Amino acid sequence: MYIFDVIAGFLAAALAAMGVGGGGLLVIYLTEIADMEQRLAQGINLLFFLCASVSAMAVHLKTRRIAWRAALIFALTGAIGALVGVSLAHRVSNRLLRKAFGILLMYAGGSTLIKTFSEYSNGHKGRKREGIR
Amino acid sequence: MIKQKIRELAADRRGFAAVAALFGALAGTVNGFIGSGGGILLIYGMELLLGEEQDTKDRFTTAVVSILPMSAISAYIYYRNSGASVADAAPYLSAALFGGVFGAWLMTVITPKILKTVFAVLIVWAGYRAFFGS
Repeated sequence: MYIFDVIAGFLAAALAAMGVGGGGLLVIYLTEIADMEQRLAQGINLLFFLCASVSAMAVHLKTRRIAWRAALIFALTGAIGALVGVSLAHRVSNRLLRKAFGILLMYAGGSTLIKTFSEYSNGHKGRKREGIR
Repeated sequence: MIKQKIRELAADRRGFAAVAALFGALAGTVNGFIGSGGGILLIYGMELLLGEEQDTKDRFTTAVVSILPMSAISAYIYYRNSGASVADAAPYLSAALFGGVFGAWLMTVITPKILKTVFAVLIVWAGYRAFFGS
């Protein structure tokens, strides 16, 4: 259903712009609900990410300080990595891609949960929380 | 222990560039291979390179800016190779433009800590299904 797709796109983009979900939420929707194959979902997610982040950055850039030196190096070597990663993605099965995606999600979600709980338990001492803000 | 070593290495200019180059390459590869997730590696890299003093929202913004060119390259090749056509993506793309602005604006008002935790549970569950499912 077209309208559900639009709503899912809007929500996934809004959450991604807030740093929630590690950029994988739309892939989850596309594969679990829209019943799309993994590789196609990944391709659409990349296009989607370009739109969501360009518009989000228009807002973020005004208020945030970017570590430009790090960003420049990341972008340069990352571009080469992207070529490697994509050609790999087109040489393996959807099944393997799905497993790799599963590992990424479990890692991303798991590390967020661990961080939240450790911050919560350290919060009473007050030290770490002060440092992060 | 490895963390400490990397931090020491990144203390001078050259070491910083080397560590950043490594994390950039890794992030680009993962982002191209899985179509997402490169930002997670960059954020981890910046924790090592720039330390805890960097504001988490600044760190996030830097990660997204760095990922943009990688995603552009990856998206282009996906589009060429596997028929991830703009028509398939159309409903998501137009919604993404508005969703992106909305989320970014919302983040200037709130810090989405609870939201992050709630979605982390969902993500772990989806990851479990993706890994162990058919």
